Amino acid sequence: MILEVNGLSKHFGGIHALTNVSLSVAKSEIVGLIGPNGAGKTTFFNCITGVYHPDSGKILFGEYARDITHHPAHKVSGQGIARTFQSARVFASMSALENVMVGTFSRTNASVWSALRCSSRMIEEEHAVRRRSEELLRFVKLGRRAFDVAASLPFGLQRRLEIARALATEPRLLLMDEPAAGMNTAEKAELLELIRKICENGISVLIIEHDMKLVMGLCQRIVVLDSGEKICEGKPGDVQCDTKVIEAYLGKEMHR
Amino acid sequence: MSPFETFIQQLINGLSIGMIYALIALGYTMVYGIIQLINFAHGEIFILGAFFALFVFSFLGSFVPLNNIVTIIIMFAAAMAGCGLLGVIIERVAYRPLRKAPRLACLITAIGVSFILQNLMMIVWGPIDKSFPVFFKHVVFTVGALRITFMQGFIIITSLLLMISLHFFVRRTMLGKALRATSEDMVAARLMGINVDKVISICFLIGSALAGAGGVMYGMYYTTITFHDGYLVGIKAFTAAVIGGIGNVPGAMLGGVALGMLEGLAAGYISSAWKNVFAFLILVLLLLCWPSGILRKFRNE
Repeated sequence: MILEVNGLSKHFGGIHALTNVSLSVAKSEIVGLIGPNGAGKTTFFNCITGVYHPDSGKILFGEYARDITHHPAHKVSGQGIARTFQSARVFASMSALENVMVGTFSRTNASVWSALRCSSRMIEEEHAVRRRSEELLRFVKLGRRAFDVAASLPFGLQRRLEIARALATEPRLLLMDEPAAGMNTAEKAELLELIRKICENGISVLIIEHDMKLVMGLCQRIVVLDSGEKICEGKPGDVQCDTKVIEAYLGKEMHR
Repeated sequence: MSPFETFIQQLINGLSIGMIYALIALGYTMVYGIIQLINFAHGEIFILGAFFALFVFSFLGSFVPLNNIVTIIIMFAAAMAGCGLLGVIIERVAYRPLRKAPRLACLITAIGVSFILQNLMMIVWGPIDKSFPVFFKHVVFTVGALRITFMQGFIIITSLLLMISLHFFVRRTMLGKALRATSEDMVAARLMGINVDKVISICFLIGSALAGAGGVMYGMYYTTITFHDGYLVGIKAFTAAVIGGIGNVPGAMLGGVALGMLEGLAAGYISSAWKNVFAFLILVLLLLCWPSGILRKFRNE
């Protein structure tokens, strides 16, 4: 297991956003996290990545199951968890290339001192980062837009830029928050292919998505949240037929 | 002197003080850009730079006679290092604990820090004017009827060099990129593995060091300093930052130069007693009519 979450709970005031949620992701596995709006999916991501601190539960990550439950966000990223956001949050005024380069930050030895000295090692490192970032941009098919300002890219491309930026942190687990939202069919097909390729490179993916067709086609396993609780887990086909899941999405059937 | 030459002469006079405003404005704007705080203690940090340099000067002078250039370099190094360190400490002690507090709390704290520093300076260095060493007093460059004193040339060139290095740092280095990323979206930056607290410290370090350098040049230019000089100059540099659009680095440079030149013109054509009135008139008008400044910070909401 690359990620193991045990009994995670988080509440905001009186609202229980997450109650006792457990979930695991194996190496190179694609797991889907679905559920109706307000089910706590994004909160779950925020807890894993250190944006929120969970009230209880444990988050273990990596081969040695290191406890990262209360790590600050930048350390979680350093451990090898990257994420993309529900609404693409690229650094708008920076170029596409710079966006990706920022992603490599925690893998470099940047310091004020080395910048002051303009050390040759810093310049070399900078070149390496640049090459790697260009490579990643080509990987998400943005090679030609490297010098475009991120804000000027159409939404679908900003999404892909975000993926490249997340990959630049050299993750072992990628969390994707509704990557297909607002995409057309062709874009979705490309996204699907891209996620598969990422997975082939040995990166596990945990994905929140509303597009059922995409989720069912992509994920090996699906976890369903409703009102902050895990109500179902299993293979795509099984989850689709689960009565609890259908109830969560469509409401309880009226009994006459 | 022809009217045109007089005009240019006033612009040059204004440019040298404008460069100092620009250096200080950079600190305001960088800190605002990253944590949306107007660091009112920044003016005090600026004048403390002058006091640090003065201290080192008198300390060194009592030991060994040094040549002027070495002395100037040591004074700058002391001021920049001292102010940079002080800036980092202030952020650590006064602002970081309030990171999640409402913005107003930070603002009031900043004003409090400003008062503390001002009064500490008064206690340490006394409430009277301190005379500042003058170097190369009689070196004057003349171009036609125009006169540029050594100090003016020195201020313009040194400030330019500092600004170019800052620009290089922000644009080219990884840390600079991290800085820009953090000022655009702190949460996303954090999730990309950037230690935001460290970036904020670096921001204070650089901003305060630049202000310290500005302080030394201010002392050399006006030849006397007192503990409350930082207040007025600080507010003017803040005006410069607002002119350029607060949060915008090139804007702060431009705003500082523009404000300095306007002041120079006001002093030359009306009366130097009125130059402050003009500076603040501009601030008021700008806040009323053009609150986002001449170079608006690009934001993607």
